[in-house]
Amino acid sequence: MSVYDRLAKQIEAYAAHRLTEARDVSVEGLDRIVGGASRETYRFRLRYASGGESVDRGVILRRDPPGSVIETDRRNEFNAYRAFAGVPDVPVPEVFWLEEEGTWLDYPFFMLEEIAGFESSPAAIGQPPYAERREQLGHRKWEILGRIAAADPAAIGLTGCMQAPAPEDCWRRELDYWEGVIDADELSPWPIARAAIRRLRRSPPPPAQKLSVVHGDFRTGNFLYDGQGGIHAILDWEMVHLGDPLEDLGWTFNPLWDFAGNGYMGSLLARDEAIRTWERSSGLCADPDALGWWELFNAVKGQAIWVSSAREFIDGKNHDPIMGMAGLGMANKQDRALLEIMGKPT
Amino acid sequence: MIDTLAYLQVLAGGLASGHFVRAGDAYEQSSLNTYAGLALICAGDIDRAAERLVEENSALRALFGEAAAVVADSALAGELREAAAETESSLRLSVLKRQNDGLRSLLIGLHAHVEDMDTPGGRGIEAAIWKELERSVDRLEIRMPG
Repeated sequence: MSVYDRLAKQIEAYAAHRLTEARDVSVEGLDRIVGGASRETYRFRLRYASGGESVDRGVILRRDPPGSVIETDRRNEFNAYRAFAGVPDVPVPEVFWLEEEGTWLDYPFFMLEEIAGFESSPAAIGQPPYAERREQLGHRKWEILGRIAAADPAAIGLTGCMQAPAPEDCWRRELDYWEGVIDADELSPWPIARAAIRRLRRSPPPPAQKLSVVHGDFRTGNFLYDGQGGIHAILDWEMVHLGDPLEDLGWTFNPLWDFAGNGYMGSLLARDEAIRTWERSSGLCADPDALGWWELFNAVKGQAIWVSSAREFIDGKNHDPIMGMAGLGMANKQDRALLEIMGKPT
Repeated sequence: MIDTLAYLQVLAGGLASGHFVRAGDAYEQSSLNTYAGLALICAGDIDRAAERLVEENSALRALFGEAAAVVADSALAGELREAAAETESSLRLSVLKRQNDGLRSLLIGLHAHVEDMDTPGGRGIEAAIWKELERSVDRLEIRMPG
């Protein structure tokens, strides 16, 4: 029995356990999806009979790997999907089940609706037919981010399950965490990232203007889009937390997210236009100095993720080659981006 | 700093032990492509790794020699002089990289120190550090084997 056949049988048993009224539960076409360094991602058709009707649904399984690039709380990710299902203008897939133990599928996991028929590739966005809709996609991207920033975490039920830092502590909590990741995982010293961290600590940003839900990885590649300029699902909420809304905006400006290489932020919009779109949508202000702090912070966070990827790969905790490529192929680009953001050398 | 030898060892182990998923699907194909990309990057680096490490270690030692006369902290000045006087004891990548790690650690300490110095000498060393960091990024830029 192959690894896939075994997993399909495990999923069938689990689904039958959850769908108590269902009969003839079957899993068809189980396939692993490329990408996703922090969770193993699979798609399959879940078929069963219930109440005299046949059901056939596309399902995505997000399962923890043995080693993960980001130590994330899958409950937060699950809760964020569920919370934003009720928020207008923030499209997310429906989530079904969360299991935090390895009882059913060997590792913790959750399952959610598959939204099929759309593109997610960050490189394809720079090619036809999507390139013709670049600006439209860009405006939609930063509008959605603005809606996430504007959402009230308490009203959508997230303050009960996520830590809510004081507005003046948002920056410190994030910087402490990601510096700690570099401390724990670096295989060699990183002088540029360390200089950036010192600069960030010398000149902290003002308190957050509001406490927002921070997606944590809102970049081109983490949403589903079409050739008409529409965005149909915001994905990959594994780093979601509560914090300063400028954190998410700054992450979108990491130069590494221009996968298409066309010079636009996330290969979609000029920086000023992205900021204007976000401000209109969120009703918030992107203070240039504060945003500059968060841009530099996010370049450090990016480097911490590549450092951690390299560690997972070299230590053999995760054999997915995407971890090796992230660690080996991105760190030099991130160092160059750090130099650019700091304006060094003058 | 790329640990090229470790990468190659992990790649070879992964290829030999069949960690890949079932044959013939899109995920396996993508994984194989990525492994191949990694192997190419490592092959491109392995050819010049010793040269770039010797070059960087030499540049850092020269920088430390200048900085030793400038820094205000006598213990740090002593560490800088000691590091500046070292030479390569071997051209093995593992040795060169271990020395490079030590030098880069010392560079971080020196950088933090001169950032707090409000003197022309301190500012001069800081500017030299940034230039060297830029050169280091250039040296480590990924190049496929020519």
